[in-house]
Amino acid sequence: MTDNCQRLEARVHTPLLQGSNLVTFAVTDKIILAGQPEPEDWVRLAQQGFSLVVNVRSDPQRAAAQADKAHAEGLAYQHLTVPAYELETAHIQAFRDALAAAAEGKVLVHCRTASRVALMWMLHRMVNDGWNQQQAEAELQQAGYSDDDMDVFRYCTEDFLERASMTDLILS
Amino acid sequence: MSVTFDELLDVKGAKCPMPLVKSRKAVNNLGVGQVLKVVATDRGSVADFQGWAKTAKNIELVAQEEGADNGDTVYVHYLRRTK
Repeated sequence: MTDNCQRLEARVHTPLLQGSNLVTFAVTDKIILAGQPEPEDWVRLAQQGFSLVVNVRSDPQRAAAQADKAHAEGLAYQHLTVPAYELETAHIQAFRDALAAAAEGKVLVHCRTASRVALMWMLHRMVNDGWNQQQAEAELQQAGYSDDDMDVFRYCTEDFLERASMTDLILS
Repeated sequence: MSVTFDELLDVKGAKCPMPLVKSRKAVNNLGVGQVLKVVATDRGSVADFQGWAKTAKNIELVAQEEGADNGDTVYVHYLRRTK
């Protein structure tokens, strides 16, 4: 089996939320990046050891409805509105703070397709954890993200770093 | 609907958040008042561009429409730079 096939298998055939079709990628034992949960997934999340859900989608009405469902199942819930078109260092630091709200148990971090959260996780590793880009990319690939996905993350990371560097120049 | 535009950005096949990031860059190259037409295949781009227009300080979402391109559904967004 090739590396690509192994990655595909990890993405398609290893549901991290049992009984669900939710798109999921485990970047650590505790942090699961995901697409949009279905209404029936909230009870599964609670039953399968999750303690916190972080939503980075922009829609506040959807987030409010989700928060109610999460709280009804005993899950903590964080809605983090960030501009995906123009991420800045402060957004990545807020992302770190949202993750820090986790108690014992796993954390589900979701957007619509699990792409935006992967970019944020990659930038989190680089900005907050001091990883280099190669290490951050390797972690996402290990979790099952495809080469096409990685092209997106590289492009957006380059855009982020260009603007961060310009900000540093302005502030210095 | 036919909207007059000044620049065209083709992001067919691009995954989230690439259409947004490329559009932001393209808008920055427009003059104030000019319109960018963005053609995407990502269904989520419809909500994404609406969300962007609500929070961004320099764009107006003039129109959105759905069409077909070689059998694929495309989502077309018209953005005007406002400042």
